[in-house]
Amino acid sequence: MSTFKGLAILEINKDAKFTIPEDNLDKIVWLDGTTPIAKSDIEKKEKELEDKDKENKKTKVSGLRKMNLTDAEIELIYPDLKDSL
Amino acid sequence: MPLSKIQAESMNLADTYAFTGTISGAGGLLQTVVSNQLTTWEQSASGNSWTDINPGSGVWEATITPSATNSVIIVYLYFGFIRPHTANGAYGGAIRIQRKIASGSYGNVTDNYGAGSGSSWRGLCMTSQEAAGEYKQGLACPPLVDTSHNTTSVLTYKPQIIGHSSGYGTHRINSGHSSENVGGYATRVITRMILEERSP
Repeated sequence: MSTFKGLAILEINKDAKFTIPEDNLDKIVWLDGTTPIAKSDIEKKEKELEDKDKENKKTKVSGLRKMNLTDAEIELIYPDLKDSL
Repeated sequence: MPLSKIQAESMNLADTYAFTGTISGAGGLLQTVVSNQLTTWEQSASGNSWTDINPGSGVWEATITPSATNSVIIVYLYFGFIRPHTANGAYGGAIRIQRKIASGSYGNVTDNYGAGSGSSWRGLCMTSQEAAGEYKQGLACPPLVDTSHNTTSVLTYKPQIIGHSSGYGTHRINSGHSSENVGGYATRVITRMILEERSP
């Protein structure tokens, strides 16, 4: 499951006010008169952010390996990079 | 009725005493209200203005009706988990509590202690602070002590949140991850507001 739902919405409309209960876009509540954004548009942007995040992590891992860190050391220092090793 | 002074050793502590009046002068607990938030949610929070905390079922508020105008209301706010969530990872946020009397307008009770610095606002606690590209968890919120309500009308308290700097982002509450039941980091937890009325 993605952790980029809220960020995807803000990438589309940085002034959007909302709450996403239970990480479920079907339950989203738009606040303060925010114009709703289509679920398909949010999911599309979410995928873009996920891909960008994966690329960023790969770049970071590559840089750390060039510094002669082993994968075990990288995982120990940066647990969030575990899936990019 | 003549006043009788009773020493502690003269009382049978195994007996049950039914007081019908008000106990004052000892900071006695008069009533307690508990409001829980059990769902998990992610909500937007800009760094430009304070945002009501809303789990999706409406603005989170808790109410209490004081029994005396000079009683003390203590508001305890506990987040089982709250953390900024942004694309770049490490950002901060702050929490404050507002109060309204009856159907009046909300005001920042925290500001009873003065502004933060000059014209800046004062919060009650921070959700986190950025530190070397990583999150650094904020400490627990100190209790809010409201001695200025001066009413026996209903009091409503609501927490608000503000995000990092002038940027925008979201906060995740009650769960650190969108997945659940995959380990401690993705455990669903409880957020709770407790209102206590105490005698002055």
